[in-house]
Amino acid sequence: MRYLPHTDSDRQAMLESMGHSHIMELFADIPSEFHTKLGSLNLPDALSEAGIVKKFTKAAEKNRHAGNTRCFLGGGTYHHFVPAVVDYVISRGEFLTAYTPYQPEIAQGTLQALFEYQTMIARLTGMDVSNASMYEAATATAEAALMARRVTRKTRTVIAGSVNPRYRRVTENYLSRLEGDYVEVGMGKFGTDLSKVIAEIDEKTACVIVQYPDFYGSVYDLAPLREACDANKCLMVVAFSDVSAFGLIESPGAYGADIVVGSGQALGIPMAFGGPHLGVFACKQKYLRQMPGRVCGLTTDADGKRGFVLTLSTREQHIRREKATSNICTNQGLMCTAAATYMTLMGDAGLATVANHSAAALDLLVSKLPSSVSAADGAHYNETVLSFESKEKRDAFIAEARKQDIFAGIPLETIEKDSDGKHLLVATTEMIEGADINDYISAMEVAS
Amino acid sequence: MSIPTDLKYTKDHEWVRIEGDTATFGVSDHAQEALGDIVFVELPDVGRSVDAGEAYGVVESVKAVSDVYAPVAGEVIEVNEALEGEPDLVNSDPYGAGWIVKVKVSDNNASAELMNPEEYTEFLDD
Repeated sequence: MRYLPHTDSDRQAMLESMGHSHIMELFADIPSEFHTKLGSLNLPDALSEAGIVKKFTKAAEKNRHAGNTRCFLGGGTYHHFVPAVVDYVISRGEFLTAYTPYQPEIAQGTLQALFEYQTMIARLTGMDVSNASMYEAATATAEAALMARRVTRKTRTVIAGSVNPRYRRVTENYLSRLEGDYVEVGMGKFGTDLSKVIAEIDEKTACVIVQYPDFYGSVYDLAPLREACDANKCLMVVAFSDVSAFGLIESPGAYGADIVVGSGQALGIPMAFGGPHLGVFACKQKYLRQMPGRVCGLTTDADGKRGFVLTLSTREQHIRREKATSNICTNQGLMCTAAATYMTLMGDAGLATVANHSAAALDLLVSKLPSSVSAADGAHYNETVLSFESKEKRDAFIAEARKQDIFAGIPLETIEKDSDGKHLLVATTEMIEGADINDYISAMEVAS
Repeated sequence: MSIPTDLKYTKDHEWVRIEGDTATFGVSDHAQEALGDIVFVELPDVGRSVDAGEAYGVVESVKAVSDVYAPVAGEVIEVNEALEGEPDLVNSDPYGAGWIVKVKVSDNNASAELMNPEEYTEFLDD
């Protein structure tokens, strides 16, 4: 296999056209002590194509990733199963295209997939309408904060400290150039204290943002928040990290959320080192015109036939210019199609199975913990915080687990302020089996 | 092009009818024609105060979205709720059933630069 496209005679021809006889004449201006001597780099011999494949396959096999380990990592990205159908569908040329194809004359398939995505997301989150997705959960959360300011004409944003730290950082950054307060409510230990959040809501508050299940996997009753929002005419924004939760627990819409945002990565999209992901954005019908992003609608053409088309485009920047409801009018449309395919394949029953298994795996894990390790109190979906006796004990466990190809969890201080350094954020999905949990607990016992 | 003689107009093609301390706002025949088929009118909340020249609502047509600006300052006392179901009233009857809001004119009498019908006709001709 040849890696360099030019032959010796090509090079000779090029040199001649420049009036040189040897390539070194081109480097004559560089002092000779800086010239690399021919052969001094000690490069190995060239390999055949088969040799290259073998060499790099061997190197790649050393990688440890969700696909060849037992993965207990969460924190916003989850190792759910991706059925082969998803990759097959999105790999078709009609869907797999360089740019989001929105011309209705030629893109009915894509537009229908987006329309069905919106319908299914609206049902899953319990909301009236969904857009055709955002980039990911963090910017979707920030856009929700901006939208609440437009709807309410108020400027104060209150966000629970139990919202994923990355969503908070991006939201804070978006708001930092605008007038008005940005208030993060401290949460104490690993859960959401709604009374503290509610205490920060006043009549100037445009929206309050909570996460449900929260960053620590904790599930709680959102009803008091709805009342507090009504009393202060502010919008209730509910974020989430693992949308599969709503196959099991009450949806944010059932609690009366005004805007729901989060990650749709659980819907048929691999972890892929953190991206590309899928930002979910849904809201009540009455706020539709203030919603950012693309919306696909169902209509009839001049012949009375059903057709799909982008709608409400007048909100977007190419028409509204500086007054656009959002400057995010693009997305990762292929991820949207992946989620639509996944939800279609799984159906209500499939999603419920995934959610039940994910939650049951965590329950099993927590029930088997040795007395030296404790899990956070309260109800959890598929994620929780484990507390060890010391940082050393925790790190010894992570190392022991690693030896057995187990990713034990995320050391909390790597993603969130945590002075103790003895906490581990652990998540389970339907990919975790009973034997994996036994191995996890064994590693814990070996390390202690 | 209809330009009723009992109204005042602004450069943004709004009209205002002032009766006592109540003012009614709408957009002119020229404006509705330029916008095309109107599909949505975003109305302000009753009770909101608007300054002269401040955007108080949004008129959306099939081809454009435009803010509408208050010709005079005041507090919104009534909005034309019929526009929620029939926004095209702005097209069919811009000076009548297509009115947008009524305000109680504020004491300071602040107003945008208002034109009488003759001046507005001239403005449109330019």
